[in-house]
Amino acid sequence: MSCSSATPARKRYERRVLTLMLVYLPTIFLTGRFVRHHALQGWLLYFWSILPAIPVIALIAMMGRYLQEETDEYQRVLTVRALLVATAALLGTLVVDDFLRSFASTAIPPFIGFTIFWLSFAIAIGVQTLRDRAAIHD
Amino acid sequence: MTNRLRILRAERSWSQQDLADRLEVSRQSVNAIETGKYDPSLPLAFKLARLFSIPIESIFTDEA
Repeated sequence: MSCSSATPARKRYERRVLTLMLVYLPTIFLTGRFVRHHALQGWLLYFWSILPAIPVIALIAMMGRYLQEETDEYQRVLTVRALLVATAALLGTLVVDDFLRSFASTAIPPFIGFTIFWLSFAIAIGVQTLRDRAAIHD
Repeated sequence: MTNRLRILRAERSWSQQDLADRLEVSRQSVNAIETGKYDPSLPLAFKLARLFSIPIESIFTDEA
């Protein structure tokens, strides 16, 4: 799914992701400031801790919306395949994390799972796009 | 499943992009169908048949 072959639904999805990132960045910045510089406790601490997760969850919802709006069925298949690869990578990471917690009393650092999910997704999309480009002939 | 998409396209001197525009899909999709990497859904197969004014079975052949 390269930029040049982006479908209208894909372009809309990319615009929404960009908007969400513009919301996420100040949110994470403000959260960092509030939690570090104020001795927050109770529901206020929970509120600020969870706040940056909202745009991230919205990001996942936007992917679902993209899959609904995408009329190019092959592009939809490529995206779903990439999501499966990313989900497998995420589950693998979580299993390793669970065993590390159970037997080694340690854990994978925070946010690694999310990073692995999107990195795997991007790699899977990239590999499929490169494979398709290699096969293109007019 | 094999298909005659490339031949049908060549008969009309259409590029993959031309066909993609007519089908309202990406060029990547046309290429994937032509090379047999992706079998289209029934609605898309019917759209192809209507575009070339031939039956679906004249485009796609089941190897089984």
